[in-house]
Amino acid sequence: MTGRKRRRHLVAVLFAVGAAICILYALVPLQWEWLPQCPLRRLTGYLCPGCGSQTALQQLLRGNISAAWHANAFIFIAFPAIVLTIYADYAQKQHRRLAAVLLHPATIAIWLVVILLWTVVRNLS
Amino acid sequence: MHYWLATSDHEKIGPLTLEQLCASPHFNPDALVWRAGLTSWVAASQLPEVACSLGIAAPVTAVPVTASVEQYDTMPERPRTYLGWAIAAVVLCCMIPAIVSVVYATLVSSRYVEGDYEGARHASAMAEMWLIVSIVFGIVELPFYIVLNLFS
Repeated sequence: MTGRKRRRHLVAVLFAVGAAICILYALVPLQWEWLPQCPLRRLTGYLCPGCGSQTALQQLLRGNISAAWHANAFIFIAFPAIVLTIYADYAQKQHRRLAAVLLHPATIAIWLVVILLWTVVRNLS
Repeated sequence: MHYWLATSDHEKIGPLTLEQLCASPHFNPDALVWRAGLTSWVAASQLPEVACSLGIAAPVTAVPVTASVEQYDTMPERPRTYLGWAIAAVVLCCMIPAIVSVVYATLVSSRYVEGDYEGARHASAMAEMWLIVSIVFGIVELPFYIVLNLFS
């Protein structure tokens, strides 16, 4: 099997597994006791930056976009940016400018500041 | 300060000290040189400190020669930063090993820009290691959360 063919098979398998997980997850009850809960929230009562993303995903899979947005708004904006950053990291040769901007130390500093601000803001309101 | 020298075949030599650079057989006033702080490769005669050792008058202002894509290729590829994965781990699991990984990702970028390629490679390996630590930690502690949930 050639490398390209093998890669296409891998993508197909990953896609099928991902779709299956999504369908199963959409059927899981919202407050199901078997779902893992954030340890920070459990121990301190404070919300971590990612708290609510599990609910957001469940609501999104049910088509409740506004409920998902209220569960964790930050993850909606951060997720595409994270995917783009991962892509830029692996495709530096093809996208030199993109990688130079997304992986720049200043960009990383902005990430950390935004995550910190979001954590403070969501715990205040 | 380390210098890199591009040969006429676009091969990169370095890191070199100023003495090694001037002693190189590939070194001439038109040879392309790079050091930390430069945005692109410049002709040796345009760099004041290098021009002095060539025995020619230093230019009043160093004018950077616009680098072609071909010249950029003399720089090695940036080592992986694993930044995207590390940020996902920070946001979703708020874990300390993932924050260490983000710090090393910053080091990869800053060292690469400075021309410290060896240091950038080392930071990349550390970023990968701390990312794996945070993932393993997350998988190991997941059953504990579920059990904790069930008993409260």
